[in-house]
Amino acid sequence: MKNFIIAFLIVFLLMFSVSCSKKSSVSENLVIYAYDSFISEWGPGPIVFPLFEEKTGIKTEIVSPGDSGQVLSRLILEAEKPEADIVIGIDNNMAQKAISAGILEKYTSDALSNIDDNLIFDKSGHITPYDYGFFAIIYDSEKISVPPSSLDDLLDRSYSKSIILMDPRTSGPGLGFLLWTVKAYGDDFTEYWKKLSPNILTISEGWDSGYGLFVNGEAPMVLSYTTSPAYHLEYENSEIYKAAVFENGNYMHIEGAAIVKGSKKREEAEKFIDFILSEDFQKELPLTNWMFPVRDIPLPDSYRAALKPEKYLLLDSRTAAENIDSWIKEWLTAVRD
Amino acid sequence: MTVKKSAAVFYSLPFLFILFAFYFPLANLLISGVSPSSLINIFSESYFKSVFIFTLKQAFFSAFFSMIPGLTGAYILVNFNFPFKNIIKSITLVPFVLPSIIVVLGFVLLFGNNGLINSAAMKLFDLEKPPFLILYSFKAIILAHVFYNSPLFIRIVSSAWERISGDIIEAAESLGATKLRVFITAVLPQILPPVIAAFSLIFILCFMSFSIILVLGGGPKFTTLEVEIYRLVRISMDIRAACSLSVLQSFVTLSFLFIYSFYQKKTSMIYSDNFRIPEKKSSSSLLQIILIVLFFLFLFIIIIMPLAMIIFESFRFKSSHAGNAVFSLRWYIKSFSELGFRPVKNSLILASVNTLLTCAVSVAALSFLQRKKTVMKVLIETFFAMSLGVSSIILSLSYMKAVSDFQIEIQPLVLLSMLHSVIFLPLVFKSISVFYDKIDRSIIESAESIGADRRRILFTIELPLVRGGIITGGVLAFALSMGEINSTLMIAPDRFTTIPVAIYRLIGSYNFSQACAMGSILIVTCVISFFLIDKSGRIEL
Amino acid sequence: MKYLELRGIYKHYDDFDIVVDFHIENGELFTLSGPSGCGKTTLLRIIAGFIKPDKGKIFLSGKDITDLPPRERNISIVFQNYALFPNRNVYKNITYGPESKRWDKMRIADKAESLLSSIRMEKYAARNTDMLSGGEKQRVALARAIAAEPEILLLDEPLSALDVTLRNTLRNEIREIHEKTGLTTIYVTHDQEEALSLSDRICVMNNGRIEQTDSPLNLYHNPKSSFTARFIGESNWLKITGISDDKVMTEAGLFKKPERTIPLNEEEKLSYIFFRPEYCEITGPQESGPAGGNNNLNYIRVKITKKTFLGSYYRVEAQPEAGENIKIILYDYFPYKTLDKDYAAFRIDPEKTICIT
Repeated sequence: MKNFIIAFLIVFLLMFSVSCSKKSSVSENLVIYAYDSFISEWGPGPIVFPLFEEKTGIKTEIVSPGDSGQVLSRLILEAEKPEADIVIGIDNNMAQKAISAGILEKYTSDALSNIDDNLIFDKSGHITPYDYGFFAIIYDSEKISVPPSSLDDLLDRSYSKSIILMDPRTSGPGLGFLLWTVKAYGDDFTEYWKKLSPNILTISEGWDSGYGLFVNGEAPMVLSYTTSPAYHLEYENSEIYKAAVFENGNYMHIEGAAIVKGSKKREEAEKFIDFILSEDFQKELPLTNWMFPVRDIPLPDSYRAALKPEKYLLLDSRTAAENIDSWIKEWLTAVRD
Repeated sequence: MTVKKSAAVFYSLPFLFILFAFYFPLANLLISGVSPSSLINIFSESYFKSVFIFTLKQAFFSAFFSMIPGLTGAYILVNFNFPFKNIIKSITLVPFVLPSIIVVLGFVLLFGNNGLINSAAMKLFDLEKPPFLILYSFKAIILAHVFYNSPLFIRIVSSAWERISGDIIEAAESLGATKLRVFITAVLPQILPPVIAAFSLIFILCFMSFSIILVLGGGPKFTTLEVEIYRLVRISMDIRAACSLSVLQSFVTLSFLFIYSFYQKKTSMIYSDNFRIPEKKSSSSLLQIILIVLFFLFLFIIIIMPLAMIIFESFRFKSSHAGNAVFSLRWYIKSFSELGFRPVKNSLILASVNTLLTCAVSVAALSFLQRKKTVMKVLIETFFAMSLGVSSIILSLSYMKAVSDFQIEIQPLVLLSMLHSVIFLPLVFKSISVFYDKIDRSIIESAESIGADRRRILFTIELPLVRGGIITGGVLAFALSMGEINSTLMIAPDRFTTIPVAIYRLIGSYNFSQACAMGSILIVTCVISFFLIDKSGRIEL
Repeated sequence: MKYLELRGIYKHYDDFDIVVDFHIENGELFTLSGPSGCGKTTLLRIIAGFIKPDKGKIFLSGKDITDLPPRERNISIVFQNYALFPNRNVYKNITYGPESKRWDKMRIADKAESLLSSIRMEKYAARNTDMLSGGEKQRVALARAIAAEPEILLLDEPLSALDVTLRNTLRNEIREIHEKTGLTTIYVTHDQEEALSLSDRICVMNNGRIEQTDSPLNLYHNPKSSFTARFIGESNWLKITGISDDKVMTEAGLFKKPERTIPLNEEEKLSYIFFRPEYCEITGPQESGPAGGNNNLNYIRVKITKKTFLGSYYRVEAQPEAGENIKIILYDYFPYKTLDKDYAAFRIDPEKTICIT
């Protein structure tokens, strides 16, 4: 025991002193920051990064500092001594924060010309969109015979304690839904939430636990993406979960990537941004990231369950960035009453 | 002189460690700009007060309700022998390692509107609506916290209770005291310090809980301070304010810990020289039998069943949604073919390093502290416990910033073990300190006076006497590290997948059943590990 | 030869200070005594090295040990609560010191065996310490302390947790061990009977200061301070109401002015005649009139309020004409049947009285 502890301390100190040294030079590789689910075993990462290396001969180093909020936090922390060359996963809600923090560089890829102008959410030219989706209420068609077709429909009394939502303070979809109601009702959005309250079963902290409750039958409706039914069709051959497309449109969510300010590998970084707009990259997104690719390419068969609403809603990203804090506070007062 | 020097090096190690691994990065994060303005904003919120009061309230009730089965469980474990005792002991700690998402799933599968209890009742009585609305209320929060924490209570209290001298109890009994009187006069004063220690730990853990509270409580009506920290990091991107709030939260939790510690120091002065293991009872009164039955019922419903539901779910496979579920190893086969043994291996490595490091640092610090006066002791203990209240997202960010600011190249795995150790050190520290406080000073002084140096005293006297605390603390550190997810996600090196990370990623990509399979693997790995740690810890040093 | 010397030791505490200066001879059994809180245990801990004095030096056979840690001083200590190592058996407790000093194995085994036999616990070697009685525990503690062959043995109230018979037996054993080993021993006790019966010399402490260091006999019969006089043994204190060149007036009677005078270090500004209960000689039954005829100095006339026959002696409590009760011990009571009466007269040898003023 005694020798064991001493040996352990020595080993630890050695390991530490060996591994702890002044960084000699900047990494040889193209350093890419991405959110965790992107690099996960079931995400696009394991397919697209090797593909990029193979095509360009540029070695990549993938780092995931957590979810997309944590990725941005880390970039802001490192603003003065940036480690990353590329960041993947800055969405339309966070774009303004990232741009004002001055951590991104402008780059306009030629490939952007292939893309619907409405999807290029960052007009300042920093962030290149690669995929998008629509928030939607997913419902269990065995329990809900008449699906809601507008936000107002969700207030129907028969839906008492039937909806699972997410908290905008801790979850991306949660924030998306809050902005959706803001876009739809303007200043009156708190009134809407007050009326919605009796129909909410719970507001979970993250999409994962909320959706978990839903598939376990806790409630017939949950906040998710219109692409969610495609998963159940693809892997479970089931079409009972359906997305409710709203007449006034669903709120859109666009994700983009950008070059990090201070990157010493401008040329390689540009190649990577071009790559994410290439068909090779884009075709992997539907079944791994469960989002629509920004390029107009054929979708997998299961995507027939993933509806694209004809109309969509989106707040200007600058307005959103400026007001999110105060909207969250108003929202809190509304739902806590 | 060399002995003296090596002792100085040895005793300075824990201080260097905590300074380097906690205070230095945190200070670096704070120094670059505390933002009081955003903090003032938070405080001026009308709802902040209610959040704060609610945080305290739920923490208190959670700790209180964990104490009831906790004390009963400790009593039964200490006083009665029954088969599979050690296995049961190991199983009760499993909730502690589970990521909250798995706990939520387990609870939903059992207590949910569509869960086992409700659907059975609906079938049995032919009901339209679920009869038991258990979840999404304050009581669900308490239920889940009891599930999480009462095993911790049992652990800490029973390991100290086992050491109460049989002489004292028998002396009290021989003086004609009733069982209750024996308990109040002879047992209670001695187990009070560990009871207080366990209570305060659970209080602090629940104080920082947030996902369980949001999901099972039913939404933002029930919000803790920790949620605000997340909002500041994720939405407002105001890391300084988040950090300030986190440090503030730490001060709040620690002032509670401080009061408890001080009180505990006072009560632990009770000296018990005649240590003898009391006889285990084989025959028992009716009341005791009822107590045991009730406890096992509790154990079964609150702790075993949610776990069993997860394991059950992991073996179910439906080929189509409408079809009947069949028993299948599909999810396990899929997990192993996709991930191999990597997550299990990574989790075990991380947890073992964390266990050894936290135990070594705690023992070195406590051995040093033992020679200090009470006030000094409590202050230094607080110094070591400070990380308990700081949210793990803040700690992870502070690590990232320090690495970036100073351009230090540290292997991510080493960095991650350091971070885990800092996060869990206070718990290990506390469970070992309960034992250190019981060592009579004159025992150490006797050894010193007959020529033993500090190292010899440490290894031949102190370590054997605090072994129970090391086992408890070691198991806790192991369990917590096995289940940790936040900082692992943020700091872990590329493709370093632990079991909880795999669970998180699986659920993030809709694979709930496979996540249950990973969860079951986590449960089994932990039960085996706890059992082994317990066993190896009991080997004579 | 000054074996252990404490030179100008000073230690400050919030409520009192310790100021001492003394030395101990080689082989002496030296007792530190005094009421609880007088600083005797603190002083012992200073000698052992657990407390560092603010000022002063400690020398052990001429060597300055003030700054040495306890384990390098070669001074063993035995505590009241035994402080045995609960994780080691009897044998392992005893061998702990020698092992710490890295003796060779044969020597350790020899030492342990001889000590086990001298405390008559050979059969208990493999026992766990929690299976022992209090007396056995203290024997093991004692054996453990001397196993490492210390230069000085410190005993901190070692017997006070034991019952009376056990205390007497162990007291004798300690004395025996001391005589056999010749080990310089410092013994702390508040029990004066223990102090008187064991010690070569006793040091009486009060309030952090030494009142008197002397042989037991001298301390008893020739106290040098009113504190020592009161602390050691039983005594009678008669209040002095008037004083002349050769006589002293008390409430109980007239006394010859004692040759010995010691200062009264108490707050009150009174003076006393001091004598021990056994200094009184009975002179006869007296119901009235002055005691002892024409020479009535040092005679007191009393009413007997309580008498207890204790075999070899009588213990009497008596009420003089005025003033407090006095205690009398009579060994030589046989010639007189006077104790059957209610009144008696006693004489106290003027040589034996002390004036405390």
